[in-house]
Amino acid sequence: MQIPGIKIRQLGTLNITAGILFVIVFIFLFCIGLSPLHKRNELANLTKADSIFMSAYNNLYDDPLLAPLSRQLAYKKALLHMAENDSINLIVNLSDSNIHLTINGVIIHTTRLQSFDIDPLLLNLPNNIYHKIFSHPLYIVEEYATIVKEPIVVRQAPKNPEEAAINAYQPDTLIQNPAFLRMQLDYDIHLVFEQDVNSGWNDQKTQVAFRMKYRISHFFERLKAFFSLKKQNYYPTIRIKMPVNDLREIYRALPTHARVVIYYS
Amino acid sequence: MRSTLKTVFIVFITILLLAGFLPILQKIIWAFNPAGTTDSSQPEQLLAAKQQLEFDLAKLDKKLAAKIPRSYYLVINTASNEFSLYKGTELIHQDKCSTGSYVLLKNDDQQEWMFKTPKGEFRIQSKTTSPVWKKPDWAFIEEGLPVPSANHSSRFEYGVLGDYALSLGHGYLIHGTLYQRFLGLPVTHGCIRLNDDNLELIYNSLSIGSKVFIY
Repeated sequence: MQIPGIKIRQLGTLNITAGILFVIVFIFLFCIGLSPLHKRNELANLTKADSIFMSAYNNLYDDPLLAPLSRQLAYKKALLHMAENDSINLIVNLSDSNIHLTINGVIIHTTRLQSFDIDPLLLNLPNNIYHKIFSHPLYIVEEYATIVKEPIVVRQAPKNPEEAAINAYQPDTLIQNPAFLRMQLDYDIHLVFEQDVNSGWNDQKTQVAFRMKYRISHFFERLKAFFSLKKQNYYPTIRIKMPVNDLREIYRALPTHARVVIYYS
Repeated sequence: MRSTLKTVFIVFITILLLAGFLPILQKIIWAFNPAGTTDSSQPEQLLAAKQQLEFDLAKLDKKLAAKIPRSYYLVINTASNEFSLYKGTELIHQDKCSTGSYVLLKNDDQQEWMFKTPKGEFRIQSKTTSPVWKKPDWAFIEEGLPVPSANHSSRFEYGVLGDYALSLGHGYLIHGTLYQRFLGLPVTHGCIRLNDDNLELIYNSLSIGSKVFIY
């Protein structure tokens, strides 16, 4: 038999705990909600702090009439910077819905994008910040993919011709796993490439695992920042869907820490 | 017990609602903080700036166009095992080829050979007709045979590389093949194999110094 007073006290404690939990979650979500604004302020401060850039930047480019042309200029400048580099690099032209691989300014591969989605932060960037970020190629800081860069097959040398004949290498197409790729670029910009068709169970399972891996690690990063009273970081993301074979070709062609030029207007 | 469950349920639903509210909150934020654009400039200033921009763009376009070779060049896709022959920006011919197998051969002496086609920009170093293949050590080790001396007669094979070979340097060649059924597959030791007709076309189109882009 329970004493009524104790029950009421237990319920009261529970309600207070629930209330505190509610407030904490609310503040946590509110901080996350504001994180894009923090990011934009951070980028704005970075732009203003670059006095050489600011003195070269023409404020008239902010005019809606000139903004698209000026963004084209930023794109071409970035391409020219990248053309000085003799390794394979990536061009993401969202205005034309094309992705290119390039070496020394020569386009060696082109893929038509099926669909893409640009982060609202990037879409709402003031023109001077756009110029600061995108008039130079961005480096790939980190990347994660569901396919291997080099599909290496290890073979032990045979002892004699008989063993060589038995274990003769049977040529086959490369192992074709579902392809999903996430690149983290300078300024914390994320480029996510996903295959456009997920036909089988394995494709869907890989897609879920690929997305969850990032979301879980990002969630813990947010929790850590929240409890250590730090600013929530925000990663502006561009999501791209493209044919799986092209995605594999692009990923395998790019060296580690390759450079990327992004253009959208 | 029932009231505890009720409280937990309410908290859970509230958290879900708040989490669902997050994208809406972010949309509201962007609605109130659009990209700042100004349109208060004088029309003459704008026109002058526009003309300057167009001039700068034309200059950059010229510089970028100068990067593209005007003569023939070859682009090789090692993932799909295809090649494309270009002249300037015009695609002349495209077909199957064979590139490196990505086999890593190891022997008991801790030696290793990686059979992959290198990526990047190359130039044709030399061109030969009726090339003779001087088999390297790995060709014997791969077949389980003892490695002969450097200039032993068993090292020289005639007719296996087709009628022509174009060298990319470091022992990598563009050559023909006896195994035409493997074209389009990654089967080589790093060289690029073509069928007879394509090899002839490439041999006649590319000259020494022509660019070859491999990716």
